[in-house]
Amino acid sequence: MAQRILIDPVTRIEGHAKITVHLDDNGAVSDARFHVVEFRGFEKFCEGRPFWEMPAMTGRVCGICPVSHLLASAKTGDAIMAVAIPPAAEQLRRMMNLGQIIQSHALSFFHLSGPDLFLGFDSEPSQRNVFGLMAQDPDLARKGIRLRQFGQEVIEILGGRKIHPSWAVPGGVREGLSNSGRERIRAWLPEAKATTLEGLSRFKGLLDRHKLELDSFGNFPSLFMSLVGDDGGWEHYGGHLKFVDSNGQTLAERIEPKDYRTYIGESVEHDSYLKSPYYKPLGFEAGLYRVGPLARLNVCSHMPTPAANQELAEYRERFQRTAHTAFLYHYARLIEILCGIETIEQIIDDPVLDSHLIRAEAGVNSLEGVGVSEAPRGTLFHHYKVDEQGLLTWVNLIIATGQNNLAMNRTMLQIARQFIKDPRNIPEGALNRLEAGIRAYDPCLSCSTHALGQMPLIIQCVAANGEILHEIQR
Amino acid sequence: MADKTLTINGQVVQAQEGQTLLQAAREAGFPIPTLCHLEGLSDPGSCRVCMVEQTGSSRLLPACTTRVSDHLVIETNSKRVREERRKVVELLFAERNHVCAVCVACGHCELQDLAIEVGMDHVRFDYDHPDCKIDLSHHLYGIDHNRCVLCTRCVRACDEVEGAHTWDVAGWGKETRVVTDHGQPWGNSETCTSCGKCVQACPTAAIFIKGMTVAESRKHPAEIGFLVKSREHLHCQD
Amino acid sequence: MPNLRPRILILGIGNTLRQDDGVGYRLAEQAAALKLPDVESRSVHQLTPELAAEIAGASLVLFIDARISPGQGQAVGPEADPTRVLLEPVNPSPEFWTCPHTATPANLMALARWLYKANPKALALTIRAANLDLGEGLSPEVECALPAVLQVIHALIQNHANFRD
Repeated sequence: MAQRILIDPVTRIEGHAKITVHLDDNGAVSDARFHVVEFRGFEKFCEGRPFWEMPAMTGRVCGICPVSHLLASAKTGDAIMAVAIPPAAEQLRRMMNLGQIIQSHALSFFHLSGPDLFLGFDSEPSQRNVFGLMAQDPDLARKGIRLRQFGQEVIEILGGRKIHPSWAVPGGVREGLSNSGRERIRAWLPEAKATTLEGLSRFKGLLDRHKLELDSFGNFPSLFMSLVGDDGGWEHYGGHLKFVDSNGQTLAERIEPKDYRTYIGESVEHDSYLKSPYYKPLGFEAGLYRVGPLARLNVCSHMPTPAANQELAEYRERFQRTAHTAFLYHYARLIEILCGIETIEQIIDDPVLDSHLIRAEAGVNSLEGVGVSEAPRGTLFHHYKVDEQGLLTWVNLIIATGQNNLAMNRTMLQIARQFIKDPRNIPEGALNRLEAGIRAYDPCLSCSTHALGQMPLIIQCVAANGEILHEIQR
Repeated sequence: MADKTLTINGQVVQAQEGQTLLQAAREAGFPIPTLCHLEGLSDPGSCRVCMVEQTGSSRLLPACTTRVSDHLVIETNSKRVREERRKVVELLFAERNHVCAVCVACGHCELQDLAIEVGMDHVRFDYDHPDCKIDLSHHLYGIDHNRCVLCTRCVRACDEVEGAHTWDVAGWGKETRVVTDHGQPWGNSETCTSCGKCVQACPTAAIFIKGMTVAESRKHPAEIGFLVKSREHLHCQD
Repeated sequence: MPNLRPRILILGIGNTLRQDDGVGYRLAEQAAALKLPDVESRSVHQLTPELAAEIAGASLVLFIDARISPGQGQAVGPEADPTRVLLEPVNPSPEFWTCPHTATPANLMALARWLYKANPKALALTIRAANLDLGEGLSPEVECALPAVLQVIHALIQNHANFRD
């Protein structure tokens, strides 16, 4: 039996994650895996309930991205009712999704991954964290907090202080945007934009310093998938699905969400409860695809707003038309934040928001519905079947973290091979990079419990006979 | 009508003969929580939420069905009463599947309000987790038995006010359910007039308007009493 | 002029659809319902960095959460199971932030100190969880501990207010 190194950084019982690095009998890295024990009982939990209640139920279970589930679920409800929702409702839903993308990306960039980026991976562990970053640049850290607050403010203004569990409903939304709320958002936009541009310029300045990470962080060819607009541009809410290969060649496009199962297969691996979706026409191995910010930028033809589009052009000039390295997820996030802010600038001035038509009413007109939206971490699918009365008989959810599962494993393997030369003497920097490699995908481990005191990082090197060769805990 | 003199919470109270303890106490400014009682409908005295203590007696009395009488000494808010009330509400929660957080009536639910009023911070009984059905066959309304507390307000509103008698109670013990037309799916009911009185009478969201999403269901149970009063008024003018 | 009035921030953390995991969330809701003067009580799904800005405006921060480990701190009840609920001080610590999306109370206190030069007193009240399966209620073990926890919260608020007066 081969040895394996175990990194078990997060939480416990359920919803926890661990990284295992498998060694062969010669002590060389043979495989690496990121394990997520995701909560799958949820789909069963919903069956038998009226579909109208689903937005709130799905929003409640996931505390990290309630808005994404809320919108995907409401869209699925639209499909079951077979209605086109009022234009004002669509604009408001879009604005909320952008608020979600901004706040989530801001947290990921400025506070979770920022330290690795700004301080380097081989810096002292005690310094290489958000506090080290702050010691270096507390002003940027405070601005990062403000940017995240902006995104949350947009969500709260639309959905209510406690993020109303069911603001988006099948057929539209429950409340319009108040004038005072509209002004609050408008007034905050310039500051949010300035912070984003500052983050972008700081990040670009760091790219040369991280040459090694750029090369090893999940830098492998894969397929990419995301929503795109009718004109092929970046999209986060509507449009249709598109797959491209590692060279940017279109594999399939104009895929209606309802046809997703023709293109996406789902396998369940024995050592993880997470479903691993793949591009069906190419099979499980070759069909590995990635979703999320990197994928969205690779798949789209352009960004729909001017400043973001200019940044995209520069990004593509620096790398390739189709970027492969997971490290660039960070860069992609910043460009998406900028696009989100610019898009909100446009929506906030749209006179359609004054309309009182915000909710279509209808009963069950279709026994099956699929709703797709782009969550911060990638494409989110909700797929329900109902009986003629509207009671759910079958539920399938595909989340972003699941779709990136195969890619995260491959990223782990690549980093392990690059940085672990001697399993008895694993450099601190290698472990940091494994963790950072996972963080680059910003996996959503929601649905999990999280009680206090459960976050020690344990690294074990286990020999073939099960003996623990060494253990690091911090 | 003769006056009756009784003592409620240490205060001497005059009440009219035929009044219930509930009416007398409320008029005297002593609120008593209720659930199956609804102004305008008859009182079955079945939910036991309005129980009060009679000094010198070991039995508790339902305030909604007990008539006032001379020399009665009543406590509406004694320790024992409060404990019993809380127990009753806890049992209601344990009996079916009430998930407030994702319920369409969240924030506008009489059962939820009651739990807060009696200070129920947790349920001391094991939850029963019964397998309850939802009937959405009616074109406007739905019934979710998970949320039903068997108060029978729907049954009485339908029978006494609308005169349709679509609703009834069937089954025994844990299998007890409110039913439409002897257990037919609601949508097949030939007696239902779709008037919606049962929806308004229902204290939870067991009976609800289809299409409602979380926390959206707001009931107007007082409409039932208003309707009955208006009719009485018209009747008097005849 | 600095605000001399004591401001107490209660942060209850948890997922209420995972039974005992939601105990902190629920307790903070109950504390909020009391509408005590100068007490702000917030229920959150997880600790995120922007809470540091709110912590900076408080003189006492009380974190309430479920825990699954034996834990450390002063056993504060209930009588039948005193170690069910533990109270311990929270010292600012930049200890590495491993869990994406979730900071520890110590992390947040350190954030408040570094970013906003604020150093309020902080305590963690943790309740040992018994059941973390899907579901809304709390386990009987944790439910039994609630009155004791509320008492401790009350006492802490009172003591703090008196101390500041």
